[in-house]
Amino acid sequence: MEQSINWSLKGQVIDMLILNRKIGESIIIQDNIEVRILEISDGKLKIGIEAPKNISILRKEVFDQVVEENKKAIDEDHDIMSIIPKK
Amino acid sequence: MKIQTKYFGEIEIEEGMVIQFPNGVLGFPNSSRLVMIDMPDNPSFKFLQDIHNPYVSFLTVSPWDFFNDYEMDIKDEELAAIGIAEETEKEFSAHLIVTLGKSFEQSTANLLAPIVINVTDKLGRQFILDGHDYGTKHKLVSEGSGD
Repeated sequence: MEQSINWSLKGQVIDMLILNRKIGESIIIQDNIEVRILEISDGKLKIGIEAPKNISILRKEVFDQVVEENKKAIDEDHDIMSIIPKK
Repeated sequence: MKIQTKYFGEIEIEEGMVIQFPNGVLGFPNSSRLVMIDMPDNPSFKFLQDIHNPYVSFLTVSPWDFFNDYEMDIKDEELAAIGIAEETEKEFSAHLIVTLGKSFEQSTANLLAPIVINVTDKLGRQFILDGHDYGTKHKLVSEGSGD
């Protein structure tokens, strides 16, 4: 069973494929990435991912943290040349 | 070719200086062609400037100029994405993005997500390290240091 809907997450509307899975069932992405539902308890979902080693897998909050820091790094309004000491 | 930069106005660069970032820089997926520009008066600092977007210019430092025991553990399979493999002898460089504070003492470097460049092939990528205790905001100057 699958459906594609506009899902609203924290007010942000995103177009997302939604699938129903039971414990032990998996989905396959691009023929070689398997995401399996292992356990559900206390509102926490444990998932297992099998993927080729060149695929980078991150918790989204870590990714978001880096994106935010990158944006902050270029959005400075300081006088760089006066802050960096001369050597 | 001439490019517009954030801090140096229009400058002339050679095509051979351009570093390709096939995935862009994290948060800047369209920043795929950048150049390294030396900071005048301090060789520890370099700007990583997007050649098509003057606003996108990262101030960077070489990790080991500031963090002696910095370690980057990146999977071979991920390094292969920028043409770095164990058996090949490619020259590579590593750079940390700096977020300036009001003063140098309040400025920080992002140790969690270094930029690695295959200098030989002019290919770069920002990696997010796994398995280290690094964050995105490490002070460049340790507190109480006299430097």
